[in-house]
Amino acid sequence: MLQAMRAGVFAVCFGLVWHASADQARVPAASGDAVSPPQDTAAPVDAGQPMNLNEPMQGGMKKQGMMKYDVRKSAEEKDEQMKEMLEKEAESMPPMPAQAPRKK
Amino acid sequence: MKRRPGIEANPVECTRQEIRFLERRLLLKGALSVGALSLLSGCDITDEETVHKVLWNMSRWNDRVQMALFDPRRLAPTYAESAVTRPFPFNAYYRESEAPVVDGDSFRLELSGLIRDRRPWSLAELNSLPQATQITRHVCVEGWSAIGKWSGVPFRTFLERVGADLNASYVGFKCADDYYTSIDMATALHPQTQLTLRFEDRTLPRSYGFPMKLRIPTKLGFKNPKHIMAIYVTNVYPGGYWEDKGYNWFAGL
Repeated sequence: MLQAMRAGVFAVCFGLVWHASADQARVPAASGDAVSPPQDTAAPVDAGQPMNLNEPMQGGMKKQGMMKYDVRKSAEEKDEQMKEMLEKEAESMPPMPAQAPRKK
Repeated sequence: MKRRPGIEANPVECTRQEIRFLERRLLLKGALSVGALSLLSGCDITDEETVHKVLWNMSRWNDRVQMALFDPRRLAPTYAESAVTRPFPFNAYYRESEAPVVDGDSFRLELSGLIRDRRPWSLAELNSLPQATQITRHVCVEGWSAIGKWSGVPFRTFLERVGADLNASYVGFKCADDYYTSIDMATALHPQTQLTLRFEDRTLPRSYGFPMKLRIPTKLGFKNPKHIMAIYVTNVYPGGYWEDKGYNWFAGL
């Protein structure tokens, strides 16, 4: 029975890893790219323009209906969630022993 | 039912063993079905909360399996300078012209969480740390890849220098474009994980993540945050923007 359980766990692991590799990492062969990179690849732009948050996201990772402001909203929520714990963790750290001043 | 070789001649013992074989087969079949069911997580089955919760837990379990399989000494392939992709593609959730503008003179990298020396770092101070260069392939989850030349501080060196708790579980990043993500400590300490300050021997251009990005050749592109403004070390799972939307957190290659 124990062996059968081990085999079962292995099978589930295999299924999940297979799923992950198939779904997440569609890695192109080293010899050439299977999918073309984004075409917006002009030389780096030096002068920026403010991001228009009230428009749909760019890129291939977005899901339908995602807007640029979603990222800012999620970041603010995450900050709020993590803030207290990060402060507690920081307090738990012992002070750093004296070190040579940083070079500039 | 065909008798398997090696089964006892005693009919009672024989039946017990047959039942054990049957149980094994059923369990294996069940396990394979669960494995197959996990494949469905790529499909948009329903928005029902329970299904999302199950798939979320499965993805977290997937992370744990990937973490267990991750070899911290195995290096990603490196390439000759002639293999560098030019122009290197720009990719973000916004247009290239909208990439954030960060003033390098007033920039200070903020540190928090399980770090002993949390004083902020200027770019000059970061540039004075030991540097390394790598030519590696950036692999995007969208299905394309490109080779780039990156230089900067080995991330392990930086974490040691600031007295980060290297036994902590996660390192998180907050970026000027509001993006956020996190990685496991094993990957943070990998010899090729780099706090990148230069691209092709020039100051990292704004489009590619000025003032700094994290280069991780062992992970998919969305785990390589650009325009990093703050770093923290924690034992609380921090997730990430895309990860919280359902993309796999570990995202290893």
